[in-house]
Amino acid sequence: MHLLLDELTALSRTPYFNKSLEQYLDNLIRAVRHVVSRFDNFPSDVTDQIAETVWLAAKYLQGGTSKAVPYETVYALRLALMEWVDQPCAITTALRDDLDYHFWSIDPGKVLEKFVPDVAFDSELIQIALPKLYRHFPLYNVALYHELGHFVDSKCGVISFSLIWRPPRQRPRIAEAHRKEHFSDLFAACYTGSAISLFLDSIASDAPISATHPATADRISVVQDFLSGTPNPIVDFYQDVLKQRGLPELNKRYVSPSIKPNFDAIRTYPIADNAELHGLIDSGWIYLCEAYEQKREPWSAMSKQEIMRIINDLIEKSIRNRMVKLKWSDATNHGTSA
Amino acid sequence: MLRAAPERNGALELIRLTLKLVQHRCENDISDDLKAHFARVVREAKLLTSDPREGSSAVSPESIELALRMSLYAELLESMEDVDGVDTISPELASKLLRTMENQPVYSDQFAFAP
Repeated sequence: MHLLLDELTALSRTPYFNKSLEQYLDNLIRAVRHVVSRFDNFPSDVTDQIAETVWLAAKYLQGGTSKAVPYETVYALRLALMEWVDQPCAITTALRDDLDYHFWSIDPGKVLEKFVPDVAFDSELIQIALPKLYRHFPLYNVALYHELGHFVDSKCGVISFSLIWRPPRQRPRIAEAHRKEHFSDLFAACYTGSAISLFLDSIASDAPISATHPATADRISVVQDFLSGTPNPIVDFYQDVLKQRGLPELNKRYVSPSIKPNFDAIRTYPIADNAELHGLIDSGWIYLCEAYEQKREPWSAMSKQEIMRIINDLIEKSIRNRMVKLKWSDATNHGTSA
Repeated sequence: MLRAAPERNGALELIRLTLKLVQHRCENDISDDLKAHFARVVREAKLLTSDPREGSSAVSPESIELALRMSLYAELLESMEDVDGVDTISPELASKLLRTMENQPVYSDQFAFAP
């Protein structure tokens, strides 16, 4: 714990790009100091568990100091997250060397608050991880919407509740895993439309059913039924579970903008609102698939690698322009009212 | 790996910590806030186990997780029968509950995207 305290103190001297992370770190340091001062009072397996939580938090917070954060992707995910979780969240990012996406939450505050007087954490710490190679390829980060689905499931107890409410008839572990995957696919489809199907098809088109995942073909079929409004018992099952839990229903929370005129001219698209911001991922994937066919200008003369880079770049810059525009508007409105 | 790491289940972290403190006879270190939290989770989990329709948004995910384990593992359900708060748990019972909860995790915290 002493070493962890040193690590956190060193981290606090590094400039952060996010005020909520700074505040979180300050609280964590105060809480850990208190635990260290009373270390001998607690049984070792209790301090082990506390240390493990703080250790993870330190790892997460390190990501908040990185200059390589894909702000556009994190911005879009934060917007989606806010529609499901009331509690403020402090988001950090980890860029992974391997092909790993995750959206994890750790809440050392929840634990420490119960042991340390006068320390109140007002936000939950979340880590978004994505492959370093894809940090400027927002279309590939559609997987993070799926991961956000897992996070919402865990945070709101969706699948756990479904297992009590409608227990599976057989193989509960497999049923649980499959329920989680279908739910997260549908969650991603709420924001990115067919992009999640196209992504799944591109990375695991022939994947058969396994203990942890349904077959890709089945996953895509459920998503397509949801998007087209075709009745599907799996979709209905989740709508019933969400209703029972008092959570929002699964529905399309995006609008797919017409990006063709802009992207054909290699220009960014002016995003009108948050629904279009999410929908840009759907439009972008459809546009990318067409451009890959290299049948029309300007894409016919380019390599697929170039096409992929340029279209991802246009998506990223379109989101960035939206972020800058909103910040500018916010700043000037403040200026006027002041 | 130097030692086997127990599978973690973040949703029940506070419940496990509370039980560990009871197990080690450190009840004095359990704050009133933590005692109230423990009692609420147990009460909600029991209610949900007896009637799954009681899963409204007011019920915490922690309670759902405990209820799920209780409905899956008869031994845990039975052990919890007379428990309604920290004061009703002996160190021996705390050890037994921890064993049942830790050895048979329902789900992992990790959500790596692996289609």
